[in-house]
Amino acid sequence: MERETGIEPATNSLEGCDSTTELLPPANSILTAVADARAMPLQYGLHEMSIAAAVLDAVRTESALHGGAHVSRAGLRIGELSGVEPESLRFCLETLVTGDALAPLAFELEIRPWMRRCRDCGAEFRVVDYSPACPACRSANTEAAGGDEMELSYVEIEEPACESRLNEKS
Amino acid sequence: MRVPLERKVLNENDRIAAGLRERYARGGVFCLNLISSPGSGKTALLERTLEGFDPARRVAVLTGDIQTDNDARRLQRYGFPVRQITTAGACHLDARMVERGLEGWDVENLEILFVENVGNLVCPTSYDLGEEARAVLLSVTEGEDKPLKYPATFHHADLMVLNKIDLLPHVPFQAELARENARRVQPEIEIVEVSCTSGEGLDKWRAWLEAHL
Repeated sequence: MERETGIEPATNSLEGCDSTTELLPPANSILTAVADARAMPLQYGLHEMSIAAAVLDAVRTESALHGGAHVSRAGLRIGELSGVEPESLRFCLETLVTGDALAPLAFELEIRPWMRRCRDCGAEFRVVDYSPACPACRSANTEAAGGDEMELSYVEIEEPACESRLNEKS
Repeated sequence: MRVPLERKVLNENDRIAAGLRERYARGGVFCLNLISSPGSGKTALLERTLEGFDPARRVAVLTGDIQTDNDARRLQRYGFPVRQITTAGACHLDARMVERGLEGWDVENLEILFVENVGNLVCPTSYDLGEEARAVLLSVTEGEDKPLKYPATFHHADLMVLNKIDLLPHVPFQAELARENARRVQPEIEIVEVSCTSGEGLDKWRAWLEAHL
């Protein structure tokens, strides 16, 4: 490849912004910044915020796949080893959904334990006190078996049929 | 109506990461994602590594920081292609930033691509960058219990580089305890101990790298 030695211009991760200075909120606009919540992950560096934004994108996709039906509830599966703090994620989800077209949308977080599997006896066990050894046969020959989940596990969709029946009655 | 799903939240990141991984595989590129707290010595390790390479080798570095291109300035002295990714606030690199950072480079023709993540022991963990291996740095001026405090990060690492070992006589750090803690969280983790100041142990780090090419 062509050898380059100089420093190149900073690669900016935000679309439509050409310099880092543009990313800084004006001094008087902290409320604007909060309202423009989708910009928050990059401005405030809380990675749960970027993950929450990805969750909402996934919910939008599911809604579109169901003819634009309203999603009233979304289930999330978060592993203990996912690097995500569930309460922080919940806070970010609730912040982002407020004022969004997705509202009202409730979230259910299911925490998945840190699991290992024994290569000798096959037992799957929850890691307690960081111990990787198999509690059943004491073998140290074990492998990772879960705990890094970060998934949308279900969406609850309001059924348009029910709504139209309600409309007929009224 | 409940619709059961198994949709990965970061599937867009994972999709881009899979594309990067495919490009690396096509070219036989070894991509290493370096993660640590700020100040553990990621840039120093890369400086010593680049310094030791034959200038003809096809090695490149992407280095991530929230602000400044100071790290790229430090690393560009060695004659290898270096690019700074400034995340403008984001606490980690994601696959899209890496993909953009590689624009214009003949990536498939590289031997090694180092990706120095933003100094942070939490957030980079969740983001696959398409790397073949992940190294986490721990320096002896930190606590031996860092692997226990940040298990997700150490659990996903292939290598732990214990850095600043020249300071061991001056700090209460127990290296054996740190190794034990790392192996509790990730029994298969490999460990090398280095000092980027004295050069001690760097041969083992280089041997680990060469063994992965």
